[in-house]
Amino acid sequence: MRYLIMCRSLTYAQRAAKILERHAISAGVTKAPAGLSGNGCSYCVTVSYGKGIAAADILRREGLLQGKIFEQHPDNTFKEVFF
Amino acid sequence: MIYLDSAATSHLKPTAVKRAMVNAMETMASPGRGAYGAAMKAADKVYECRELACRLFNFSEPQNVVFTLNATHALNIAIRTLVSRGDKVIISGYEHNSVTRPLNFIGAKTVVAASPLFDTGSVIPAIERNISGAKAVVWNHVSNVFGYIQPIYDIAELCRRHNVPLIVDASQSAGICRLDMAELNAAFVAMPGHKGLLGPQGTGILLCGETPAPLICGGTGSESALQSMPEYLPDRAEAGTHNVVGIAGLCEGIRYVLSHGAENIGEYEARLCRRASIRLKKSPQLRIFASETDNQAGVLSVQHSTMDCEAFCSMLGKRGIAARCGLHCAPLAHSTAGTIERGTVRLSFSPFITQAQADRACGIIESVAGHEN
Repeated sequence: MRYLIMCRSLTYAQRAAKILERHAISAGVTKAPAGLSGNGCSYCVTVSYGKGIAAADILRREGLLQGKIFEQHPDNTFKEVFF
Repeated sequence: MIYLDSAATSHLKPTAVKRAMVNAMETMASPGRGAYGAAMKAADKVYECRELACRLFNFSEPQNVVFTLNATHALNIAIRTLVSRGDKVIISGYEHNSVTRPLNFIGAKTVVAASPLFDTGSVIPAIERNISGAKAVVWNHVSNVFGYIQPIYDIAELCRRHNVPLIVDASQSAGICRLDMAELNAAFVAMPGHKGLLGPQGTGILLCGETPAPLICGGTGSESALQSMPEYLPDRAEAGTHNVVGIAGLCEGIRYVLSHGAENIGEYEARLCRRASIRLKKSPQLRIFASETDNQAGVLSVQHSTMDCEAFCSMLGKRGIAARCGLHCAPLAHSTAGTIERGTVRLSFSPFITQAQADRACGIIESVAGHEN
């Protein structure tokens, strides 16, 4: 399982991932799965299951927590979570 | 060839620029268009370039580093964001057509706050006399014709005091002068990638202190279901496919500037320029436009006493010197300096020109100038 943190653009997702890495949280950038982004194409930051809360806290502090956070399950279903 | 036309384009580049461009062509697709390897590799490179630009210009917002085709494109975005028909805009007497033509096209009321060449002390009073009611100030940091370095931090402070947004044309200063976005606090700073930043042609940067209006609209790889442009940067100002190959080259150009220091590069070029001006002043046939103080970058304008600048420049070309003559797309600068009738021959230096090459060029210029008389 992992968390997907929705970002409003690729550049914001890249910036968010860089900031998380600076805080020793491994983060990836990928396209947001269809249906999770409200207005069509967007990108998200992925972090491991154990790092979701810390990642959300850091991005909130940096003003980069702009979208919803989803838990991705092994069967490829998603559930919105609130940190 | 001795290349003395770096104020037009820094033809001589670090070797890493070309290597990076070939690598980009071979391995990168387009950022924001997918999550496969080649697309993400391109995305990483573009973001890396935004971060390097932030480091060079002491800017904290990588998403506000907008990639453009060149400085003209960047200036058009900035000017069209802040200026509407009939607005009063203050400009210096040394602006390029990339500033004056957009203002003319919009129908702005352009006021030239003119001050004599190399007279730094007269700049602020000239703006102060005119700034009341201005919608924007658009100012050239370094003149592309004369290398005149204008007191941009004092100008920025004056604009802040009067609450008038500032657009800085950093076409000739980016990569050779200290450009500190945090200190300038300008609305926009526009620059080419292919001059002092040592990147390839077809690249430029707009540092955005404000959110610009889109100059062109189209696909951004974000919010694709909507017909309006995204509100946020850089997407708002970067419609269409990025010049990833160019940006990869620009990335290495900026890295070179960072590793050598913009001010060190600028000082080296200015030193070559001073040395050339001191020597060429001794030629009775030449008029040299040189500053008596340290406010001249590595750009030197020259006139021959009898020969027109095209003929002079053409003769230099035949002897292996690449220089530029005429009005340099800056008729206003020539009007201000009193050279509009004849134009000048411009010699512009780069970090890749050695002192020996510069000296050799001076010898050829002296020889060509002397033979004509």
